[in-house]
Amino acid sequence: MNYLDHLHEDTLEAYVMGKLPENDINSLEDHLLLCEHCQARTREVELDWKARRIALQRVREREGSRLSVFHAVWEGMFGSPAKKTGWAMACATAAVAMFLLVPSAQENSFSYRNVDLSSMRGGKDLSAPVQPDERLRLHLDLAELDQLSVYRVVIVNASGDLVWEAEQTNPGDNKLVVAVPKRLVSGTYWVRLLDRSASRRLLREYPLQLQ
Amino acid sequence: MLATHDDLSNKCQHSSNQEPDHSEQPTAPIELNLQDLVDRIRAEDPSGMEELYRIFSKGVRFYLCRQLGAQELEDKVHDTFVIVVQAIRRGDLREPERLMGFIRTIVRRQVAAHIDVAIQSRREHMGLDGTPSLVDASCDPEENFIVQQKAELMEKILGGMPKRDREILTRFYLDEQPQDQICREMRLSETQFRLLKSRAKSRFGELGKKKLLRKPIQSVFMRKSASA
Ligand SMILES: [Zn+2]
Repeated sequence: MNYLDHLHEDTLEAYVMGKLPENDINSLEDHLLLCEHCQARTREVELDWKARRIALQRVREREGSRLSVFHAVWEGMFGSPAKKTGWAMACATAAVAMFLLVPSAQENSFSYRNVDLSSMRGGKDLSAPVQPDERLRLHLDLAELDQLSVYRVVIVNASGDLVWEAEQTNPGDNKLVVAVPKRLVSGTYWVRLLDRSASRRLLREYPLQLQ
Repeated sequence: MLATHDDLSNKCQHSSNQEPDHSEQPTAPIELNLQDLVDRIRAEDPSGMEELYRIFSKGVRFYLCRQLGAQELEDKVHDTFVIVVQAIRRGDLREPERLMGFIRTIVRRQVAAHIDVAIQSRREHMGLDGTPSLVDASCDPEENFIVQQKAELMEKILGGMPKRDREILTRFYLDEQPQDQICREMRLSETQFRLLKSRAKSRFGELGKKKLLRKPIQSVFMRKSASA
């Protein structure tokens, strides 16, 4: 990449997603120092990327809740499948299990480690490094917070860059359990709980230190 | 090293010919004679400092704003230029053609220093009363609004997309899986993957333009009404 060349859309996208190799970042940033046109494009690509992530997350949550509703309806009609016997029920259960498990098996080829973030004071230091096949399931303490039906959970790195975000329904028991499908590498993070309305008011922030 | 306006006009083109850029060809930003520029800064010629600022201030501001937010931005830009000029005068830049990399390195150090200070003060602040103080990394006060608006449009488009296409986009943008993993697991060629991505993006773009076009017209009308 020559610093005189305008930046390709895919390169800009990789840059805002944090996926560009260090050498390419250098020449890209040399170009950005000089080129207002590509500065504007970078801003645009970044906004699009953020919006795309929010939209995809919402679609995923909607689809996830549809599966949960199906499961609840099934249990409501037939009771817990595990307690039933008989060939017909076994077949039906197997079919439902296939329906419910295949998508999640595709999405979740990793295990979750539970992390309790109950305190704002001091960082939560995980005792062992997060393994490549591990993801975090965060348990956030909602005590003494405004009780909203849905919260926006945002994870940023030490420099405040967005790492991951999602909306999560409040189960009403003062704990919010958030599965983070993205792998977090070692470093300092801030897990923020926001009002999901347009104000995006910050409600609480939890420090998270990963080895 | 000399890179002229004409050089830049000719050379400022896409580094890849895989996919044309949708935007218009911009005018070449500058005429650069780095040796002369650095010589004038070393000689403490004010025109050298002025030119350095004129050429690089927008880029430095862009980088700092993106990394640190809009707070005290002008001071940070100013401090950065003071450091750059002092370092050039001290002779830290031996090869003038490396000026871009030199400025980039200084700007990055500035960012790292500001982040260290922000983290430290946040820790101290939290230790005292449990109230977090934040560095707001947003440059544009309307950014959240724009992102939410775009997200709503994209959500509608995603809803009408085949499930498999949606899964590919989810894996790439949301779960941040590497492209080769997605291609392998979803049995896609690299070309199919790129095509799907660019098709989805152009659909997002088309609908976004249609819906967002109304806004400037409305605001012009409001301004005219107000001045009447
Ligand atoms: Zn450019």
